[in-house]
Amino acid sequence: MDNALSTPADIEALANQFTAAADAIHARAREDKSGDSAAVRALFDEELILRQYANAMLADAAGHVVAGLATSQAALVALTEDAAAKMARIGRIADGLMLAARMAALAGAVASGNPAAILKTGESLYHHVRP
Amino acid sequence: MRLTKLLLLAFILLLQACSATGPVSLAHVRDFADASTKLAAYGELSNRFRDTYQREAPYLTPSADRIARESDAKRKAAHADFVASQKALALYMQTLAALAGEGTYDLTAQLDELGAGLQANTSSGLEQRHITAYTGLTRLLTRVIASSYQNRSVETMVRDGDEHVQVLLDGMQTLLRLYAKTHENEKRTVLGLFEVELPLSTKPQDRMLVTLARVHYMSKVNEYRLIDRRFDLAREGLEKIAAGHKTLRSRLETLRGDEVRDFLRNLVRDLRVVRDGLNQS
Repeated sequence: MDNALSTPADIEALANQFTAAADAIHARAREDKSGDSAAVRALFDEELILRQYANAMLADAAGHVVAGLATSQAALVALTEDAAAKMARIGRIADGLMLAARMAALAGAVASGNPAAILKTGESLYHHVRP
Repeated sequence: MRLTKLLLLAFILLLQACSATGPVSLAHVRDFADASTKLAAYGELSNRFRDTYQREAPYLTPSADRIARESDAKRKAAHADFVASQKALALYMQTLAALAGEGTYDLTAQLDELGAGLQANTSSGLEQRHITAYTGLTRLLTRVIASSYQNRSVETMVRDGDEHVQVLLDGMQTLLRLYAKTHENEKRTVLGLFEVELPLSTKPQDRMLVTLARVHYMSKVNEYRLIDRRFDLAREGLEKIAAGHKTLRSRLETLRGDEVRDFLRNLVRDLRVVRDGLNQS
């Protein structure tokens, strides 16, 4: 039986059979007119066990399915990281431009000899460098 | 004059940007990526699946309980992986939204500051009109380059991502189906116990117990009905995301007429402003 349950679909199919058997027993238990409570309870206990076997198979199948997703998951994460790197690059360019702009402004203010302008542009450059 | 040559360059780049792989509708990409919230239902149901044993334990016989504990261990062990798929997909979708974002590649604020920085330097001999033209042109070129860079980045992500997105969504649909079947077995275990025992509890002293049991039974029935609805919504949500990404992928080759027209119109207007500024004397 080792190769018969190799795929999640196979395991799920077996689980379906257990569930179907449990459903059949449940129908029998509800139809029972004999009034033999012990027999009915015994049937229900069997049903419980079959459902637990079914759930065990379903949990197995789920584990297999998720193992098969690992490659695509990793690929998607890699794509996402590439995109984030692109955006970081644009962010760095933007920061670089901002720094260049403020330095040019400072140079201009110093050249003009206007103390108020020097202070103002110097302050904004200081804050840009040390947020 | 060098600046008129730069104007020509802007036109050429503009034409190239439009005739290359046509622009994806970025608004569409953003809309699609906002749908990542539809993944939440899958996450909730993954959690519910993990906690199955907790809910059904009181109803089990000792021999059923033994098997149930083993399943519990399996579900708990795989839970992190169930959720990892959702996380990877949500992150991909949110990053796609950011990549297609309106402000992501907008460097105009920085360029305006650069222009202001240059103006403060008019003592260097540059005339005002040259500075205005320079900043105007730089802004233009940056917009053209950045916008085609943005379009290409988005296209790359969608094209390379589609296959993996579909594989992941397919796997998640399968998992939802397995969760749903487990939920059915849990439902029939819990409700089944009352359906068997209630008819057998007919003695007068059973009356209080029977009443309590009936009330509990009804609340469980309602709980399961709500969960069934959750499963339907989760499945639909995943289907919508799959269809949405497939549409994006197929739209990569389509030129979006209105967006290109607006883009062209704005660019021509800005080029005129630059030219007029240069012609002032």
